[in-house]
Amino acid sequence: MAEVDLDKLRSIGYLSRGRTMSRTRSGREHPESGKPYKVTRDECGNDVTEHGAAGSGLSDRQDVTIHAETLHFGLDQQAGG
Amino acid sequence: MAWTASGLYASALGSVLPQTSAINWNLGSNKFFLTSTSDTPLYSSTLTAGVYAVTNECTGTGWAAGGVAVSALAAGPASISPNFTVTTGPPVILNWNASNVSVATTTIATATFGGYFYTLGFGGAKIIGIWFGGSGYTTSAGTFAITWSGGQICTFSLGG
Repeated sequence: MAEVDLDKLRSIGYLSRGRTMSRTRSGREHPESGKPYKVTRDECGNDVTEHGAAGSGLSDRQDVTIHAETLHFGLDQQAGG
Repeated sequence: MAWTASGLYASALGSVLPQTSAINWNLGSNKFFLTSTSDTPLYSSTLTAGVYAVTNECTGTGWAAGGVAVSALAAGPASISPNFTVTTGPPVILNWNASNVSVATTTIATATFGGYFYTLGFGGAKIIGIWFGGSGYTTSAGTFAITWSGGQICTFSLGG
């Protein structure tokens, strides 16, 4: 019977940051001269964007974008009505 | 008790059905204000209760107490132009649509967890609460924006 590597088995399906952690992407508004920015999308799908002056960090400005899901309300006839 | 979900105010429909008074959902003078997690929605409110209150409101530069008028919620500023359309179905769906919210150059330092559309009429009756979720949101000299999925704030399934 072949030996089983328990360490490998333990790593299967393991997500180091979980499925609902925030995701971050960053860049510059222009590749060479633009201001740097960092966008963090949280577990609710909303974005927080930090801006900064070139070469001076990311603390000058912060935007928020809420990605609102459509609310669905029911006024229709229910079963048995 | 904090608030944890979006919802529709009973007064928003209850004012229409008797045809004695009616909240106009689409008025440009209606406003949208922000609150902290300490706010407690009371979706069962009648026209005489649960009105706009400053207690847990989040305000700041570019976002005055009482909120921003619907006529100035879009970039520009411009109106988000809320309107109703009907999807014939079946089922028949009544859609409340609007352009996206985008208010530039705001500094809202207190973490905001949600906001309300409300009318200045009837003493400030709330129409609908929008829960943002997360751990609260702040801006700094930046844009506060809300994008509506498919351009729809909400829909009503009418059956059929």
